[in-house]
Amino acid sequence: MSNIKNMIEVEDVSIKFRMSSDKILSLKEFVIAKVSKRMNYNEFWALNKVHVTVKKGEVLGIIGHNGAGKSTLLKVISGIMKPTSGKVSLYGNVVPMLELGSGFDMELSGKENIFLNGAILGYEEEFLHEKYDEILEFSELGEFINTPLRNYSSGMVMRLAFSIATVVNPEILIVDEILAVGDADFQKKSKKRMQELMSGGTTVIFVSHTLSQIRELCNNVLWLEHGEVQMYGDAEEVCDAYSGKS
Amino acid sequence: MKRTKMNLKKGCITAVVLYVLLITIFYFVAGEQLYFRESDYEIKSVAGDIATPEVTTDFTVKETFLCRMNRINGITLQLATLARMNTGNVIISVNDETVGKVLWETVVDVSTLTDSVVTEWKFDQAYEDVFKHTLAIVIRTEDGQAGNAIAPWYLTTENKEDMQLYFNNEPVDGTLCFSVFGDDAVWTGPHYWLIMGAVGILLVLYCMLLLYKEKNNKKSLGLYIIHVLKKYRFLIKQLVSRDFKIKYKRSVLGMFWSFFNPLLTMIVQYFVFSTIFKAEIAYYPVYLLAGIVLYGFFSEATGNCVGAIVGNASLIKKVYMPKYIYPVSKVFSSAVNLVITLLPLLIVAIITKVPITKAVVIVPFVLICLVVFSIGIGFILSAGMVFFRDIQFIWSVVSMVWMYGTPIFYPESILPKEIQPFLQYNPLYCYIQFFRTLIIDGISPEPMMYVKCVAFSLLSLIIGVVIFRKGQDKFILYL
Repeated sequence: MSNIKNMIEVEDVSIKFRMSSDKILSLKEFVIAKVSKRMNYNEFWALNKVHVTVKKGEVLGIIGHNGAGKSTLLKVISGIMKPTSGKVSLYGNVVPMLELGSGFDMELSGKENIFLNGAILGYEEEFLHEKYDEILEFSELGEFINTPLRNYSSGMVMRLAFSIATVVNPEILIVDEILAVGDADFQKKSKKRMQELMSGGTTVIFVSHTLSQIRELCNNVLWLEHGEVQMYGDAEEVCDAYSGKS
Repeated sequence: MKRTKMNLKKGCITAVVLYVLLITIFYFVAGEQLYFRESDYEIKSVAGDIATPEVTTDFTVKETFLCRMNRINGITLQLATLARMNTGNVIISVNDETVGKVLWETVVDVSTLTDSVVTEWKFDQAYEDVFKHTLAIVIRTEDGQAGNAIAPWYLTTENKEDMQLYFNNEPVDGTLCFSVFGDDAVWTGPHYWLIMGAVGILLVLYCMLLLYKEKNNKKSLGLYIIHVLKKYRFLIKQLVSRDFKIKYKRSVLGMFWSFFNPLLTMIVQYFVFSTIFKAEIAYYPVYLLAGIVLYGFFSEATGNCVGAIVGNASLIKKVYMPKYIYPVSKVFSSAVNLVITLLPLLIVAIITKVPITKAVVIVPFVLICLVVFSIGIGFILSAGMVFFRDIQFIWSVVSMVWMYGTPIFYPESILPKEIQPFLQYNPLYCYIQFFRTLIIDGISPEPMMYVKCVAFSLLSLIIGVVIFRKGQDKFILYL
């Protein structure tokens, strides 16, 4: 195992949020709070010394209750948030699939959105031109691709988003609960696509509340609780422990 | 890897070739203005109180003065015909007393003169080598007789330093009503190729340094910027095209609004202000429109930047990309709009018969400076807005004050004397004035204006980047 390259190294990462009792968003509030010295913050560790290493081709599942720090960890790994202390090293290009379709613009057509969202995900222009037909086919949108997104059903939007996000073969894929997309048929198709990606040597970090999915797809599982690592190891073992506790 | 190396080499060569091309074109376009600028030491006329005795064969008027200009272009005199029709000629000359030479001389038919009006004589050629020389204006005649001659105005109560009035070579008290205009030499002219050559060598050296660092896989800011620009070029393009498509979506006239908007503003302001300022400003419609177009861009770009980060909160929370991209793409979208609004300006310039000269090729320079300046301001506003939502309200007030503080629809001369010196610290005024000089005067502004434009842009960009960089890691906690 040791000769396989590390793709992600998360070293003692901690994140501290300063939750001021009320969020100060205006100058007046700030000045008043500063003058009357009412700036009391509650410190809150969203992540506390999390240490994880993910090797090439590994699928790491992350489980935990709501507010355990799962999404925060994903945000740190994908570079959206900077850790308060600790270090994250990545050895490959990352495609985050945190929330599908967040870069969509409802006024633009499906086609225009493919290019816009593709650009936001960091794809190259030539690549998108090349893969355009593939995305269209996978999304099953047909002629709707030229209508503005505001006329789409929510299922159609999600299908398009999923198709764009998974068209690449990234080295590192970060997935936050996106497999429940579209109708039963599309769900089956998207699951197959995910499995294809995972078997293709992509390193995957995968967050889900569905333990059966985790057991099925992951090699290792990280169990977070209140920002701290509760358990980290083989998928079956951790899942058993997690389901036993809850 | 190999491909990027080739591209870098190609990019460097392109940059150097482009540089050489640009400085050569600029040299020919800027022309005279590289060498001379309107002098700060021009002599202004005093307001006369009385006319001298008549200039006759027995009476000659002379005024000597110390010239602090590098060359002189012309003079004005205020001559009285004493309210009658005179005949004959008067000879006006400008002499260099220091070397004892007549520089310029003209014979004026006195019957063509209007009583007490300031008359201007522009020399056919500028006279150089007069710096710190004592010059003299001499008014004499070979046929003027008393009762049939003219007389210049003068102010009896004023004796200026470095000036002396003579009647028949006898020094007397008073100052003639005359003015002299000319230019000062600018040191950029003779040194143009030297300066540009030095900058060119620095450019080549920097390219070589980049290539060397690329070869050895060393880090450098330049490479990083090139890399980021390349990587996110497509994204910026997409964001700009989105903004542009969204802006006029579902409107009937669509893009034409970009065209009509400044035109309509111009027409309204023209009718409101034309009677007040028309006489004072040449080509008033173009003067107005030039200001409206540039200010309109600035206010639109910065106004959009205010919400650039806050408005994209959902994206920032989910996808990583350099956050600089959001304000930059907003400014670029407005810049696309700016280019469209230049079209009505061009049309109005043609209709009002503004003599458009080769100086217009310098227009992109001032536009780029303005875009960079707006990006800097955009960084400050978008970052500030994340922490204090008051910024949007403060900015709408500030930009309104800024608009009235910038001579857009009025001439700078109507501002109170105490405020006028501050005008040159107003970057927007600097850009607008630069732009107007190019279009209305059809000449390149003096070299100092270039320096000012670039300095304002860089200053704004640097401050913007520093503030934005300091705040950007905290954005996500406040969105």
